[in-house]
Amino acid sequence: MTTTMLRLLSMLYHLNPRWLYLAITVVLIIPLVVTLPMSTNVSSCGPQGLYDTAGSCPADKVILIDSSWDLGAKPECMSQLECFVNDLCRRKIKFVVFSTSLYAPTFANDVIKPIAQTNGYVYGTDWVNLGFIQPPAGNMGVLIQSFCENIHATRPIDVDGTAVASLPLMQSVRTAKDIHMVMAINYCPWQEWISFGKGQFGLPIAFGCASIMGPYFYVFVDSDQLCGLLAGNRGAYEYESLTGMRGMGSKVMMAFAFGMCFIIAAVLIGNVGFWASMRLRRMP
Amino acid sequence: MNNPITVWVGAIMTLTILSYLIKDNIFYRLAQKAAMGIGVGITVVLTWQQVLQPYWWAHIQGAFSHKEHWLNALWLLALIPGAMWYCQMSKKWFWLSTPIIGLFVGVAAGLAFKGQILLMLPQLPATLKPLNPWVLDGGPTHANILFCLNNLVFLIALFTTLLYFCFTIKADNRLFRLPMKVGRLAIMVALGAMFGSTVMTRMAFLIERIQFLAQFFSEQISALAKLVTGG
Amino acid sequence: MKKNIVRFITFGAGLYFLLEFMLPEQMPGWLGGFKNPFTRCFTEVNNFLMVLGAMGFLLGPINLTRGEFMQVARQRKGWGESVVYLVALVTALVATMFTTDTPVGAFQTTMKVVYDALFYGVSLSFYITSMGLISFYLVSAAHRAFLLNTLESGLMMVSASIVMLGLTPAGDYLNQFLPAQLQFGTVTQWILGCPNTAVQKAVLFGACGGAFAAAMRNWLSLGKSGD
Repeated sequence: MTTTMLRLLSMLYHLNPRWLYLAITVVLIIPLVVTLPMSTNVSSCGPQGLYDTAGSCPADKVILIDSSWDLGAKPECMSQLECFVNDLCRRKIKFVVFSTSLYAPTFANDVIKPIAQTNGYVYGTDWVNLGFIQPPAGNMGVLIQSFCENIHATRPIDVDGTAVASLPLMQSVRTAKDIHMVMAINYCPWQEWISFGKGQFGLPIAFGCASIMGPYFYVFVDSDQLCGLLAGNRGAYEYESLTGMRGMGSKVMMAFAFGMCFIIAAVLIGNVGFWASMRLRRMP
Repeated sequence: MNNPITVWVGAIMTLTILSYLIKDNIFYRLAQKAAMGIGVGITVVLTWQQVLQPYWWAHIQGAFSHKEHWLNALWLLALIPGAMWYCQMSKKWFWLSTPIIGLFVGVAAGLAFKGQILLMLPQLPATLKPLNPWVLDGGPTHANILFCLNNLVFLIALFTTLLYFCFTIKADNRLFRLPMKVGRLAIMVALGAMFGSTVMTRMAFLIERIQFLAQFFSEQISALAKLVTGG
Repeated sequence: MKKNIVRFITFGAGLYFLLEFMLPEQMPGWLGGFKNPFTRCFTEVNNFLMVLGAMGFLLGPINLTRGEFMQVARQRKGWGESVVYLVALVTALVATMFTTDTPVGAFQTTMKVVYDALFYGVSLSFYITSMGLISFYLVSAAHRAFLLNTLESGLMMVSASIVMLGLTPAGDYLNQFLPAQLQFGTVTQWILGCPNTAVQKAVLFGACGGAFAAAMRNWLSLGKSGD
């Protein structure tokens, strides 16, 4: 390889990072402008497990959703909540939502209210948002146990301040026995759901988490402590494929594809540039 | 949420934060301080409205207005341990905050025993995976043999990783050199998977913002075009 | 004496939850057959701890605001930024206090608009964009720092690339050129389900032991911090 070529290649390693920033921005805009076909592959067992468990909910029970994602998890968890609630409404399954993060009830309402309205779900009869329940100084285990033993005493009012005892749906939802399964959606859902919810009360637990936490929670899927797992937007995308309802998860997947390819290309370009620099340095 | 003021403020805020990529600047720092102030303000009010008001103040009000049992007035006494939190701000009275901190440390410690036992106990039988295809349903079929091979790889990765983190064993020990090397490679594969997932998460934030900005600019451009063409 | 009181409170709090877990829900007949007394009052204990924990909610805001106020009062470098903090704080306090989901009248409507602008416009945009900045740095790190010069780093990048492609439609597109057993989705799920799970499980076992030891240390107030 000639010196000129090596010099050109070594420039790739010394590229100003701001060019890379511009390039990634342009690359991510392309899928917004150009619509490309996508296949509907469900390759992981997490979404399938959640789909099957949610679908087996009997008419006299509800599904509990711990929607504790807020500002720091919106891009990934919002699509998960949307696809899950869409599926529950389609299957006419009643659900109760609560949050353990201060801003989360607002985000949950923003997602659920339009879906509930579209599907003719009546608040108080078909779904309830219990609002923010604070884990005492971060000790979620205390809250889960108290909640599962006596929901009304643990959370006497809903998100709007209405007495829980006055809501028709909550007349028949008082303890863990009235809950079919728990879906915890958060950047990193509370592990205490597994130890207390599943371990103590035997509730099937499913998690919707950020992609970064997905590899960690696979351990609990392997040991059947989690009946389902949605990891990031991919999880939402696969769940939408199962339900046949396209939503936020599918909209962003093509952009991810472009982004991932760019990252791999950046690694390869950097390595080629580094190799060329090393060769150049060793040359007499 | 979709009113024009919110959208414009969001777009300006996004561009201000992104300006940090070029250089740290005064606009970025002002935006940072504004976000901090807003976060603190909203948190303070929501904590009162969502926690203290319904769980504490409502009971006291109910007791004094005879809507609830008079014993609920005893909730006023919670102010004493509650106020102890603020003794942390004084050097002289700092010792008064240690009992309340100790209380929550004790709560966390007590719960940790239960939490860890209930979390880890089911992991032990799940680790005992079958290695003999003859004991599985259907005997030594192609699928069962692959399943057992997979389990073998799993157990090798598990035990070599555990061995790698045994810092009481020297890495150059001849007996453990190869298993530790295998453990290291297994850890690298897992770290690669974690890196890939990390990239997905970080990319999600960027994609969301770029989509927001793209939608914002396209709406403004089409509004401007309508204005110019009068249509 | 003061330290012993704290140790006693810590031990007592931990003992309550330990006994609540260890004692059965209902005692056997020869012991009296009564229900676990610690479980009976669990909800009340939870609510009390929740209120107590929430009462410290002003600690962080007071410390932060005090620092920013002193910046302004003493006109230190960057005091203008502290003014922005204080103005934003007061505005957010007022807007959040008076905002409702269904505003009635001009004042409530204005407060709703201001709250939405502050929460969705400023806070949300700030958090998401700040996290989005990390992906830019990830790109530059991928370009400069991820050098494939050893077996370990090569293995790590190959694993990362397979997972990244397998989790996106790029992998689904490339699958048409690969046999069924080597498709990106299959290999990705194998990586996540086999070596990744094994390593994470090994780390979890170790972490569990550490968590137990730390919990025991804290409960019995052993170690330097307990002196």
